[in-house]
Amino acid sequence: MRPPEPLDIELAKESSLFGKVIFVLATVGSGVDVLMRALSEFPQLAVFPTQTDLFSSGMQRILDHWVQDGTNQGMHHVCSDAQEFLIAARLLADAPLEAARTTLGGDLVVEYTPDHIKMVDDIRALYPDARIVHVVSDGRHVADRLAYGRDAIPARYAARRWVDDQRSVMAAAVDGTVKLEALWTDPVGALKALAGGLDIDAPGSALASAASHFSSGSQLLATPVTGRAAAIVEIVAPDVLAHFDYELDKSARSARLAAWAEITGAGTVVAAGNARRRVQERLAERFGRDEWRP
Amino acid sequence: MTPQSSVFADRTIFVLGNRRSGTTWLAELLFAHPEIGGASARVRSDLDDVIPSEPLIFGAAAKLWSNYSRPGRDGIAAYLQPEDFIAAFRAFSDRLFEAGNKRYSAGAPWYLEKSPDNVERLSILAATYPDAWNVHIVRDGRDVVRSMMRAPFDEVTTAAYAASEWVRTIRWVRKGSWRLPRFRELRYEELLRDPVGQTVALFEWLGLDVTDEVVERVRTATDRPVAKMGSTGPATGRWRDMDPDDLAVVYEIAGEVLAELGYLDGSEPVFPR
Repeated sequence: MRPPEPLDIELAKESSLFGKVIFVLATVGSGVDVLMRALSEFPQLAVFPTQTDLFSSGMQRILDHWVQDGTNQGMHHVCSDAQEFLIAARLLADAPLEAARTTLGGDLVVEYTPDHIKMVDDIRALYPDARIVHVVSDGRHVADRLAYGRDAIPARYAARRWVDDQRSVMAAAVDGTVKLEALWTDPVGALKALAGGLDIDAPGSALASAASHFSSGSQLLATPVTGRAAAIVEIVAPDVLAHFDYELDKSARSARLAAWAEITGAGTVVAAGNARRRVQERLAERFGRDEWRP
Repeated sequence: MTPQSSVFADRTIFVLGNRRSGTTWLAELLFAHPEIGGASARVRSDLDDVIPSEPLIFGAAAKLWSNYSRPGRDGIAAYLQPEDFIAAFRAFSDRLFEAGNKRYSAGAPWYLEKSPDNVERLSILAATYPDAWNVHIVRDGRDVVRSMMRAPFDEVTTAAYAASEWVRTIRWVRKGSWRLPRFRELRYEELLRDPVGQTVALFEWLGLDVTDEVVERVRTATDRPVAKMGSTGPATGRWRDMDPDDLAVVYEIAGEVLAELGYLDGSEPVFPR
């Protein structure tokens, strides 16, 4: 369990990166890689070219060990002042970001890791001064993308990933949301607005170079919503789509039917598995055969 | 930060060992020296028993280290040089250690750290604290298993679990101790036989002054029970009252290591694996 309060903003000034980190949050498959490449055209920004997993594979676990659930052990025993612990952890987390800033040049560091979208509270605990930008892309396209190809995951999991990610970020304190579709439709305008929101310089030449990364926008925007994963998103999360101003009911009837079949089928499989486990438990209990337990 | 520039340069002690092996007791004996500070079990007043305060710093950092050690320098290693990563981590843990000393033993120039999972993190300890002093305490695995089964550890449900953990710990430390330039092994049974003498020997190894006052403080500390967790006090050979089936399991799993460490006299039904 992490400390209940985030790092005090005054204490955060001990960090050389105070006010100089931008975390980009988005579901994997949203197309943020293009945005990151575009942002690297701005001279003021040091854009981390790869995901750091700084929180998802590192700092979150450290924060969680402030008090270890269930044992009451943890770092609070040595450092009873939560703020002292948080500033120590902040300076540790700064190290890879500061190294990137030194190597790449620029004043602000920009980082994107797909799993960070569910860790806004952890990020805020250490970086109360950071700017956190949420990038959203139509969940139907994202889910379809995740459900096809070499690393495909089942349609229902693909849909769930996007929906869960957006719900978690909707409940969190982020500094703004950018729609990928706006960047594809009007890259210069959307990048200008983003730069303004982040308070970064956007000289015309940098804007033009950054916008060029979105040149295939019309083609992508025209991609129809066809898959079962997309239909599942429409069925289970119309409120989330509506929250981000996405038009509803774009899926074909056949896709919706297939989606319902998958949702029902998955539910049946889960129910059957649970029933089987219950029967195994009862038989093991009745006949005293522990090896029969699931 | 380098080890030499650290506030605890050459003055960090790690007590290593399996749970219920006397690690807390040994730590408390070492805390008797006024120059050694750290998270003493005695300050915990939230429980009936005097139980250890374990910060788990290195276990908590294991994921960050894995992140740093990915092949191809992906993740946080992209631009961060190994020495800079180690320095950042040392600064983090030193800062916590300083806070610990302030809380428990203001002014003590040494810091003693003891968390049971440190045995799994010897590579992290070695990289971050190459200047540290490491003491591994080993206790008869049969007594350890008996004690673990009586302690309120939810996850320890069988003798097999406890015996496997003990074997794993011994193996981890023996396999990884080559990384630790300052390493010493101590038997719990020897400590029990002569706690003052053994503790004083450790102080001398650490290069600390041993005055009459220090000896008296150690003597006082030896009489104070710690981390009882259901046991009636420090002892050896209590394994003899264990359930014979449990004991058979211990011999099956830990027989080889018990023999290696010289705990067996040849009459035990050991089944080498």
